[in-house]
Amino acid sequence: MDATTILEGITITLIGVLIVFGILTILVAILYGLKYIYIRETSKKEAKIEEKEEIEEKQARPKEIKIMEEKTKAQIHDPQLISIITAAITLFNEYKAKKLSKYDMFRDMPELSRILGLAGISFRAELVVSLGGKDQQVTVEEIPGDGYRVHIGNKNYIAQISV
Amino acid sequence: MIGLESLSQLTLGNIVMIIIGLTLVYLAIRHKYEPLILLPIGITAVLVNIPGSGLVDPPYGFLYLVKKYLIDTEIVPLLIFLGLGAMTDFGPMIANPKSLLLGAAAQIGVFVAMLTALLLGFNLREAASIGIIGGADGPTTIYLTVKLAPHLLAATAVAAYSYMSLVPLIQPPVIKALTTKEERRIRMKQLRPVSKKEKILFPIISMIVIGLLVPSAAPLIGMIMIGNLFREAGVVERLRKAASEELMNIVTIFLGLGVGSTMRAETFLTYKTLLVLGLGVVAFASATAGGVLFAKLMNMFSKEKINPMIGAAGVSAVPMSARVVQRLATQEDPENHLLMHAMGPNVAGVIGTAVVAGVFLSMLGG
Repeated sequence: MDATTILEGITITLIGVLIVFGILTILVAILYGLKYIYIRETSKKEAKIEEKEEIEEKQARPKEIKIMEEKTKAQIHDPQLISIITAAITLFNEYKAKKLSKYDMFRDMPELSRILGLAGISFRAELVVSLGGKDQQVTVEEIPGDGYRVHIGNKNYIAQISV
Repeated sequence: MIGLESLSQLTLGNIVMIIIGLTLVYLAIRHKYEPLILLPIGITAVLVNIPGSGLVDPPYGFLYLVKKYLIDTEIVPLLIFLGLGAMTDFGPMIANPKSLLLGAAAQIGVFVAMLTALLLGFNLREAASIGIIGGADGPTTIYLTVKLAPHLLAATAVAAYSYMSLVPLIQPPVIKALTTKEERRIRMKQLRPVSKKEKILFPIISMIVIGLLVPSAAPLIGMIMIGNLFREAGVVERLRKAASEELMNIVTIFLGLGVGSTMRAETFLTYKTLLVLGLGVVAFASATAGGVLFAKLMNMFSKEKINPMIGAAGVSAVPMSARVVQRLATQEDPENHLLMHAMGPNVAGVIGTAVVAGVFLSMLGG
């Protein structure tokens, strides 16, 4: 055992420990840099997904229907009547879609059906809505500006749809 | 007549070496102690101690050629590193960068063993080769020993691989002695997912950084990172598979044959071999202690506590030491899963050991 060798060994140890910790600390810093990039990318991706979800949610949000009597302009609150009118509008839309799908142009590009409204062409349908086993004769016709005129009995109702 | 001639040349040393070789074979087969490497080493040790085979005789002995052209030239250890890279997932380490420091801390064991070897009368180059056993990294141990102390190759390689398989016996007492029950029960939060981009950038950046700062570590680091890039790039599946399977298997056979060929009675049966084997335990135990104590030190300054046991995985021995940590964790708390957390320091230990080997080579001359 030689003191110089031991001293040299201690020096190598000190330098070695310093270098190993130094290099691995640099790698730690690099990894934190990579982590930052990852988090930034992930948050960007998440923001995009959130934005997409928001748009989808907006599109899927239920439409609000305001129903009032045509003459008095009084808003309808009778749940049974509201049910009949909304069911009639749903049936009417189904009927309209069926009619339009007969034409290739509208089947391939449904958004083109808007031009019918602009051209003053509107649909009208006489339907039967059944509620609680009781049939009700209803006439539905389109009015410009996302609205429907619904005729039940001897009264007319206006249903306005807003998103 | 020829058989009798061979028998008459058989020495007591040869018989002892044949018994040692057969013991390694037994341990590999019966107890599955690093069988991929200890089985070829053991059986080759038996073979080279049968007098008159000529297998290790220059210039054309088969095992002589294997050692001269594949081990002494460092081709095999470097190709093993390529394969290791192709098999290693750096993800847990990238997710928790602090684990790199635990990999560095475990290298303290290398220096403790080196200083102990110096005190026992080994010279600096021998001491460095013995110390590196503490890195628990077979190929690095072979790589460094071939360059610094080739006469110790068999002893250091056998010690490194034997103790790697004995990690489940060596580490638990050290970990338990240095940690409290409460510390062993510390739960760590789940690691974040790691993106493909990070996994691709890491090997490239670390290869450049380490290569520039410790050029002598570049061959080892370079190979492991190239292998890892094969794995993470996702576009060279054939190369990844070749590096981690076919090539890895072939070079492992040559490594076993090459190291085994050095286990001849006249070179292996010395008191130095016994000292190397003893120092191997010191190296493993102090490396484990270094990692655990550093983890405890980190806890003193960190808001988010880490389980100090994961520091023990900094000794490489992938994935054995990480499994030991997992087993100890579930013994204390069956719901505490630390395997992925321990894999971080585990793979960081491989990088740390390669850097230490580079430091030794640059300071002691390769």
